Amino acid sequence: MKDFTHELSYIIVSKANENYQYSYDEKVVITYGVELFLNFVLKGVIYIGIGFIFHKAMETVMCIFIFGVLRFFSGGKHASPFLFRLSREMYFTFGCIWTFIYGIFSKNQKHFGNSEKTNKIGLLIILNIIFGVGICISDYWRTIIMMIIIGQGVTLIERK
Amino acid sequence: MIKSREFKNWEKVAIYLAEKSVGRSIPTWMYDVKKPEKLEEMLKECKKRYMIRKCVTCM
Repeated sequence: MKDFTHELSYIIVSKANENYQYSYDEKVVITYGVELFLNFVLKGVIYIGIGFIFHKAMETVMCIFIFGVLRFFSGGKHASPFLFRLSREMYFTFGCIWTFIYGIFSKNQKHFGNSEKTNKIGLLIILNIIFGVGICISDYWRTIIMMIIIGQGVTLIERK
Repeated sequence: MIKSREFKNWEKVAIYLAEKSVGRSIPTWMYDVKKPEKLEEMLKECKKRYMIRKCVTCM
């Protein structure tokens, strides 16, 4: 998508450049602006299209709208270093907290035997393997793993 | 022959978006568009030229 929109914006600006010669700065800025616009519009159309295929178009539109409004009025900054540069120490702390949450709230009773205790031990082993992978890889992927673990953990709390 | 003209609306929108993206990314998920280096300086130049062009086309 990134290269596609960049190429497309470059073609559009080059076409416009035939009639009027932009300065170098104008060309770069307008190409960048067109790329931003195309990136926004094309992604939006693709997301809504996928939502429409799965009969979730309204939900998709609502999510995009609320996300966009909040992002716009809260400053719309790129992800902060805290979010996308989760250090190993922070990751470990979050990991311990969420291991407890999984241990307390998990209701799995069939995958690792019949007793709840065995199933919880099995789950925690899997969880710690995933945590272990997160420690070994980059900050970016580690943060994504943590977000998924937190998201799934929250649904467990609701189920109790 | 090179013509002098005012920016068209789509060009104004592109410049507006580029201007608004300085220090942040709007409106929603534009995180993977590479920002040009020295964007702020380029925008200043664009605005200068825009004002000149506007004056020329008004005459």
